[in-house]
Amino acid sequence: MLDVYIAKTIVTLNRSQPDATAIAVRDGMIVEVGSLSSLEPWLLREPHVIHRTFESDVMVPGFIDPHLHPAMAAVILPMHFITAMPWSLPWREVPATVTPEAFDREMVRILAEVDDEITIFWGHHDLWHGAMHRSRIDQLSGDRPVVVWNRSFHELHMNHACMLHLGIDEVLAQRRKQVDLDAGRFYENGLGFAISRLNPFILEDARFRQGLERLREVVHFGGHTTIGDMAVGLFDFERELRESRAIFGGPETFFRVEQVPHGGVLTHGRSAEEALAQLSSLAAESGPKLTFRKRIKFFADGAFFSQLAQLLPPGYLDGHEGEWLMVPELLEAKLREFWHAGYRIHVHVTGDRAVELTLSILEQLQSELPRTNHGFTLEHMGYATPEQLAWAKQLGVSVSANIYYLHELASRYAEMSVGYERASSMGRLGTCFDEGLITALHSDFTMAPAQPLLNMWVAVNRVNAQGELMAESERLTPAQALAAVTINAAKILGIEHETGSLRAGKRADVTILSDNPLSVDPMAIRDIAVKGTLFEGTLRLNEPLHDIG
Amino acid sequence: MTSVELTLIGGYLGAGKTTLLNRMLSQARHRFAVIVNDLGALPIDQALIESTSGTSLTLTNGCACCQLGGDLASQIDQLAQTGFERVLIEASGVAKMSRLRDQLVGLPGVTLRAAMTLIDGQSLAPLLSSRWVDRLIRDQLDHADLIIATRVMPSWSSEQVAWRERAVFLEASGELPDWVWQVQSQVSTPGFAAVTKPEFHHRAVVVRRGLSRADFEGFVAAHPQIQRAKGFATLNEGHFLVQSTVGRCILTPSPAQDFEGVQFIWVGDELPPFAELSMDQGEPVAEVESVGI
Ligand SMILES: [Zn+2]
Ligand SMILES: [Zn+2]
Repeated sequence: MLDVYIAKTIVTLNRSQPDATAIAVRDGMIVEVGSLSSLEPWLLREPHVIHRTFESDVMVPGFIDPHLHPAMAAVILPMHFITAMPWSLPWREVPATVTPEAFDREMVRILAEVDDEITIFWGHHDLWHGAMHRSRIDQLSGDRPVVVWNRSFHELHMNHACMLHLGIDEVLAQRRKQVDLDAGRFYENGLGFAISRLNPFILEDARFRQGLERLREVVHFGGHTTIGDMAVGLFDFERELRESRAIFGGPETFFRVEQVPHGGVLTHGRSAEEALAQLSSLAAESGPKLTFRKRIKFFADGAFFSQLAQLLPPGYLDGHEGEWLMVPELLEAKLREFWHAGYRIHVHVTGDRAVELTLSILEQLQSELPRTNHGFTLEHMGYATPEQLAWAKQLGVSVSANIYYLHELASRYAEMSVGYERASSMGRLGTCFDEGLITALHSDFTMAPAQPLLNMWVAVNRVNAQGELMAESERLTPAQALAAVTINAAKILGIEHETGSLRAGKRADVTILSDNPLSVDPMAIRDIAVKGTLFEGTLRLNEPLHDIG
Repeated sequence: MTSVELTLIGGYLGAGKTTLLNRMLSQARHRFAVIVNDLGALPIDQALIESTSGTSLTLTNGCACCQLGGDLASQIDQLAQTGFERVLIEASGVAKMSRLRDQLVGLPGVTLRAAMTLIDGQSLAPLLSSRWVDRLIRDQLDHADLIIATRVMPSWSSEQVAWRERAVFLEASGELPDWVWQVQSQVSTPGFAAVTKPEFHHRAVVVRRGLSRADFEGFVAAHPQIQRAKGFATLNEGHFLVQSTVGRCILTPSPAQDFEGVQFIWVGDELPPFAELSMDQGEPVAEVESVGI
């Protein structure tokens, strides 16, 4: 039986036939893309059903987010969002909250509605919401435990009731570093202290599972048919494996999870042979929806949001230094093991100094064992110089970028971190495309919303959070941006033979949109509604939440 | 709670941290708990740990959000509660000694007995001119109570007197000398002078309706701590691009658009009264289309 779907436009990303109006699917596979008349040789031979539900909609290849963290999302998603940026969550449209007063009002409103043991709010940003303080929360909620988590996740405040509830001993906490007990503030290592007390609550089984279920909704809502879990083992390898299989393995999940293990965790305290053997057996026992392949993830430098990216001179405005997450020589040794074993290697790099190190290592590895189509990928790439990107091309490197950094951080980092020139050119994607690098976009959810259309919008318009155009010449065309969330993202994960474009022989992974991102006003790309998806030919519809108000 | 004595062993990859740790464990005169760095190069001798101390924990570099497993101080608490009085910590090769000291000095019930940085005497010069870790190595040496040279004693240059004065050489094998057990931490960190810089703060404000150009300029002029302001605002006279630097406020008419919000940078502790300028309680936030973070 063939299912034939008719659409106003089908954007195929298949060069020989860029536009179409009909797509025929059998057993989850595309048998042909074209028009009803071009499909006739199939229709004459096979029983079929023609679906016209989407004849005024636009179909594009199923969206792929090649880098997010389900485990991290599972911790954050059960929290109550109050954010300066509007967030579309499947269960709630979170409006923009841009003043301190409005932030407090939202807290009061939510507190009246919920009955959590500890009420945790996520999204506070002092840039918009003013300084948080224990007394500020105490005034709103004197007796119920409340935590206000910073948007970057690197800082939190709690009220007095919460300290009592968690048994945070004042004497103990007072003398800890990076804890300001008066303000109820826990940051850096102090945050670790607070988290160790909150762990029984935020990592509790039922809550963690609820978090993963919410992530599933988020992924559906964004119109994805594939996601990459880009560091299985971030918190707890075995537990993540077990819970992901339980939650994403079932029939309620309409996307596949490409699993890339955290190399640091996997190789810790054991030989490369042992790690490789474990990975082979994980790949062998991969199910239809969750798949390990010959892929591995390593971390070079610190988090972009914490300004711990390793920078080449002139560095940061205040003279502080970024951090390495692994000794450079050790990083090289580990990359070498997996390079020689034929793996596709993903390296988290946020600063240009980390890019320099990573490319230097790869150049050495290429001279030891030349490889082509090796899938070596720079993940995030906050700052990289034009010369580095030309070098990356010569080495066959791909880029998976978090372009949302630019929208969220560029104006702030221009003033407070690295100055205008480098802040405005973070995420040099125009250069990546000009150099011919395989370039994809990711969300690193919850570092950015898992909404490919929103990330496309940032890449195409390069408008920062305050409306300023940043490095105009680095903008992508809508077609490049669409490729970056579909076929290029598939190449990053090494699954481009299966998905990422619409042509005969690929999985029937399709995202159904209300409008064509290649022809709407570029500033309207983020307003296009995701109507639903076909995942391996199975239809799933989004609730029409966007039509409300 | 019993009091815990910490000995911190830092230094770059290949300096001999694990070797020293294993030697200390095998010659220990007391029972030690051990905290080793995560993602390390060499395994420490588990058998040694089991025979002499019975416990080891791991420690990671990087930001706290990536370690839901808990922080170093909590690990030390945990060890103290199980009765350990002495803890050896092998820091990661990329750990800054300044940051570790920051975490550990002043913890209740904890004494930092010594922070020792190991350096392979032969690799000092190349490490100090490394493209990747030069500043890290300086930090590790600047913030050590004692610098332990392994293999050979480096030939210190004249600018390295502060390091030379704290450096001792350790033979590669044999009985550990007494000083290894007797190093005492300084109260203040030697060789490090704090530099105070002016502290900048920032805040984004969506300017409320009903203000004129003169009101806006007046606000900036009235609060000299404001160093810069940049962004877009809708005032009575229209929509403006705001670019203000100390003492000069430039408002350029700009085509109306979705975006609003002005980022203010000020210096010092005195918060400018943004409530005068900002959207107040009554106004529906939904009116504002965009915004940040
Ligand atoms: Zn990530
Ligand atoms: Zn982090």
